Amino acid sequence: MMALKWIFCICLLGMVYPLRSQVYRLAPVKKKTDTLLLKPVLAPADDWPVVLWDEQQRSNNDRDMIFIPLEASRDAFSQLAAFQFGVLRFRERGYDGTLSQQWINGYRMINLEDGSVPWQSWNGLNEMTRSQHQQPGMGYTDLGAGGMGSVQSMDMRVTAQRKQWQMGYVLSNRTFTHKWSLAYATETSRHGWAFAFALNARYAAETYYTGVPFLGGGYACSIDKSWRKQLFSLTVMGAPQESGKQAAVSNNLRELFGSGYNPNWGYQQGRKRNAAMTSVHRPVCLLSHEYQPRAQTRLMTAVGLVYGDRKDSQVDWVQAADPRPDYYRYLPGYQTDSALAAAVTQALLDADAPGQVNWQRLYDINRQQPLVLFAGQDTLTGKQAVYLLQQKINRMMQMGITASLHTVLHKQHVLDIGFRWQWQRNHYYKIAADLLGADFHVNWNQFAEDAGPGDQVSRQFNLDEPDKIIRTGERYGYDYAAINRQSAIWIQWTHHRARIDFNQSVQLQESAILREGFVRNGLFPEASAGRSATGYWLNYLWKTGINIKFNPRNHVSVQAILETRPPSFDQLYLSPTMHGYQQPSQVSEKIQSLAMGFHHQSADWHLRFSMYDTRFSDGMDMLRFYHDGHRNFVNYAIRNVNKIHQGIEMGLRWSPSESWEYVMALAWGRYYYTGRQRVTVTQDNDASVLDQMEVYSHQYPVAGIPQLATGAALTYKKGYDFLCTVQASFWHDRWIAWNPIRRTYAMMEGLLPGTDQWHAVVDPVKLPPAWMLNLRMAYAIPVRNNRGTPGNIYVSLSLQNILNNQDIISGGYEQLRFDTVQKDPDRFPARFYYTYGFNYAFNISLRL
Amino acid sequence: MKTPVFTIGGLFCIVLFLNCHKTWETPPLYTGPMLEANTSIRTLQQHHLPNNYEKILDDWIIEGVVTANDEKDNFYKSIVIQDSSAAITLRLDGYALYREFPVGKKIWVKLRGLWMGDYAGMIQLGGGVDRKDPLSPQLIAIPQPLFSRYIVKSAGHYIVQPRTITPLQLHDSVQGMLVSLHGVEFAASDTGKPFADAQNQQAVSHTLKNCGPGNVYLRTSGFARFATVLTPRGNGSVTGIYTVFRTQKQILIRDTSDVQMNGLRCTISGPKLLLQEDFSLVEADSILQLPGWKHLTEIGGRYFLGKRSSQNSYAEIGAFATRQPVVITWLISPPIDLDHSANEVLRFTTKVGFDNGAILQVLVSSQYDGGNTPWKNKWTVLPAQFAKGSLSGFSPAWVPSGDISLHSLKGRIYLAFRYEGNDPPEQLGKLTSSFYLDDIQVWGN
Repeated sequence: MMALKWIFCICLLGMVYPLRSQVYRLAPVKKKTDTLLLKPVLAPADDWPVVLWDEQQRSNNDRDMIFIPLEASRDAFSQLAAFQFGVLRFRERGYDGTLSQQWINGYRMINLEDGSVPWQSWNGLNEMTRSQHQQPGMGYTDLGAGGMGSVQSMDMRVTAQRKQWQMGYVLSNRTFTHKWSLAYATETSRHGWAFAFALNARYAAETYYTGVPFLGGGYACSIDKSWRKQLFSLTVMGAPQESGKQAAVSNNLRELFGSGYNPNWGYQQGRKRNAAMTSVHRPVCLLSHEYQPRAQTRLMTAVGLVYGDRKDSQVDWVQAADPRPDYYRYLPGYQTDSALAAAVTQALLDADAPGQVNWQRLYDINRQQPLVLFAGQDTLTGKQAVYLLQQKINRMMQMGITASLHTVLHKQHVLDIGFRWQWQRNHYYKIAADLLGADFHVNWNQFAEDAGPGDQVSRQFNLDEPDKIIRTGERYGYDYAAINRQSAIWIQWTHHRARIDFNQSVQLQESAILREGFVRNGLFPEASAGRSATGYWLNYLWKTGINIKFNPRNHVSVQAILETRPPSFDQLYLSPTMHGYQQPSQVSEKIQSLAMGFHHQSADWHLRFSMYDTRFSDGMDMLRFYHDGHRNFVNYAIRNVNKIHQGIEMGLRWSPSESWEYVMALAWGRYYYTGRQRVTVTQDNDASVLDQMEVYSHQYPVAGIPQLATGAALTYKKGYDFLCTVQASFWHDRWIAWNPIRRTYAMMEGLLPGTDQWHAVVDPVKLPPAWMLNLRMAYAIPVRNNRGTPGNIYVSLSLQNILNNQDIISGGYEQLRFDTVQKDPDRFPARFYYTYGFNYAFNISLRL
Repeated sequence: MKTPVFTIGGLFCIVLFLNCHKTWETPPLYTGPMLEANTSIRTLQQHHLPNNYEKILDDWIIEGVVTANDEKDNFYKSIVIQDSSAAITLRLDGYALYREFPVGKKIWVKLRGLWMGDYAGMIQLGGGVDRKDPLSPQLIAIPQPLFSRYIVKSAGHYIVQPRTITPLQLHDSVQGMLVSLHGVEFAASDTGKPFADAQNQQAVSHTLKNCGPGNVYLRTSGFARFATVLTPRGNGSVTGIYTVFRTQKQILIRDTSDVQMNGLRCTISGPKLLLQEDFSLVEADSILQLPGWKHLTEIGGRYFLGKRSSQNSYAEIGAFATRQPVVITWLISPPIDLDHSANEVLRFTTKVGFDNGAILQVLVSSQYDGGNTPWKNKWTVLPAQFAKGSLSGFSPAWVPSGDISLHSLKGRIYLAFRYEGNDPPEQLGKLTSSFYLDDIQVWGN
């Protein structure tokens, strides 16, 4: 009866406070144990729900995303780095997200197209993703040969789930306002069947950012069947969600419109409508098989299938005034006359919604277009759209198989071998999602029209259906697929001795990349449709390590890696929306890394100290933007990107008593480019080479990542019931992404070295140091249901950025568009993302 | 028991959430405010002193209909509005202004705060004055964010009729107005030339003159989208905005459709006659036989007959009394060579009697080989006026066909008069109209 009362109370609470937020569970993992099939046995204090800072951030740009483990590692450094430093885009050792790996049920979760981890597929499903194991960079894992970055594996099979009911509600002002969640897992029946599911719903009319709505859900379901020494498992999951975007904002815009400014939205009939909406739904189906013929041998096979869309919307326009309210010509800074600048400022501020999208105007202009009889593929009388809302669709399909065999040959020799094969197709196209009051759009390339007026052929996006009338919901523009295939075999040997451990891993990987076009466009009739040349890449990885154990408390490890990796689809193709031409010179990127670590562990102390030196060479990149000098869209194919990441990491945990714990972490590195990058500039409209140049990039910082991050946390625990943590973090040495074009010889014309203007053009922009104070409290109330099963109600409150500093920049970039004539960097000023001010998450959950 | 309840409840919750996809209510149709102009453009312009800049401090409002904009880039960052009294140029600092201010849009301009100045004599309104170069201050275009502060748009669409005028009548009172000049042509040295120099993006002025005294320049910007189009050789009408540059009078067209010059040029020696047939030599009441002409019946066996009445000879055809289900007859001219002439026009006259729907057409072909099966070749119908509607007896007057331009054709062509009718035995559905045809002429320069 007691339990039913509690359930009732929680349901009621859920209805009264519409819910939302995201809870991650902590699962303890013993070191060097097999993470799969691990049964968590936990005391409540180790098992507090954790609310992630910003789950949206990780899905906005996967490549930049850090690896956020959902487990509180016993490693002090990993713990702080994961939960606290990540707020300002900290990434371990400054590596990009493609160097870390994610595995679920023994299947490698990777977006083959760019190497990122497809988080969106399980976003918010914390109840079923809590059984996790993270291995820091270069460490041992039995799933694969490992690599530079950390390796995280997640077990979503029923065996790894908590065999109880879980219900939760979160109230927050971050990504969502309310979150409701429900999860359940059964014990294995005597026929060997087990079942688990998790559901959640998340909602925010407006998130922390103005004009950014959020609506999301999540589902996951697992069925296990154990049979003799085998375990078959099927997991299906997905997390459909739709949300608006916050745009990066330059300083002048922030001064004009205030700190919460977001130019992406505007009022439509009294409601805030965000033009830049993203919706993602990519369900995953995993079928895995585990065979354990004897205690120390395991064969794991997994087959995965991922299918689904990511859709991004934005306003498109055809020979009309730019609809973006933050377009530079609409701002006071564009006016040379001071009186007019003042008048423009006043007019902007006097508007009903200053600096926001004027939807009414877009509709009005569409509606005032003349009625025309348009005869193309078919005929129609109506108004041709000047403004329309386009939706870019990226439809992904992936299938793959992975297998690994782990066996202890002799008690001192461990052998792991495996293979992996994955194939992925990303189909890119766009549709006219909303014609904003007009009747039709025509499938013409307006930028090709600019190149040659009246050219009836060039302007066609599809020569096989010329002059096609596009109605709402129909495809227009580009239509192509990126096809990636990767297969790898690897072998790993580990040798344990009393005082010393060795390990060796070798991996060979073959990958194939190609583009397949589905429309023949007028600019590139020969190169736009059909399959492009396939790029084949053969890459290797060699990893070796030694671990010297002085005594049970202290050990020193040394690890080295040599690795090559292929360029991604995006780095390889000059302009995949238009044609299948690739970068003229193609090489694999080479990476070499050496790391040393010292570990100390005692009853009260846990200390880790590491240093590393990693060198990347022959990297490639591709930039596409509007070039003021060439007065056209151009592609900058960059090669010879070399960089060095070197630094130290330190983590310290001191637990003088059962009640008090002190944790401190420091990551201090220097990440910088060496040598000069080489650029080939091609014109987007005809793929002709416009220029070849060097970027004076030597010693320029690697941008986007804090190169110094440190933090400390003090925790007070009272038994298993209460916990309170005060935590502070500090970030420094952060630069925003710098524009290579500004560091070329061509841009130096008319600039005197040493002058203020010269510095403004060439110096990288360093962000001010930032720090943040956070507090977390949690309380557990033991309860029992009417059958006497023990359970808990957890109440926790997480307060972040208590001092409400709203000026903390989380990242930014110099615009690629540059005033090539006046050399005025403020004409297209740098744009910044700001992180949350004071924010909270209140979480109440019941486990029975 | 609990499991299904919670599962179903949870699923219901999620379905509920995921289905509440918002549909956006579309904004209402713009109907525009009702503003009253309190001054006219003419009155406003009278406050301007040449080469001076006046800031308008009164709450004046003018109204006008847009007559020109940047649609074809012949006008740059400006639109021209006109009321019943006069017209004025508005300098607007925006791209693709024609989307917001299409020709025919009526707008009100709230003048307080704007500046009036002139550019080499053309009066303009702008947002400010750039005096960086004190010797030649310049009007600054109104910044885009201020459009809505000064300009109010109406919802309707209005048509401004151009004022028909001769080059000699062009003077400052019609400055900026939409005017139409008739009977004008480009000077011989300016025909067949690009409207402007698109390569170097240089504006070009071509001389326009009429058959009498007076001329004016037609000026086109090097950025105009029609800059590479060639000027026509013929004579006709030009519609455009009358502008001045110091003492030079200029017409700026909005698009090439503003130039309609297919007629015969004015020449001292007069035009050349390329073909003439007045049927004066035909034998009355017998089947027409003309030297060089082909006279063929496709079906129905009825021919054109020569006729004479009150000293005038002509040709006649009609299906009456043939008792044939279909009657088709062709009268085809000798070949006409258009390579040594220009601006060719075709003229003829017709009469109709007992009109019940049979048709006479005039066709042209450059593929016809002079053979006896013209219906196997491709012919194009020319837009000529034919007599029609006379139900009993013949209309008393000859109906002129109008000047049918042949200037777009080249090489050797044939003209054909094709009659199509019938005379079935039934009383209903007879198409037996009779046509008279006379005075066929083709003229060229």
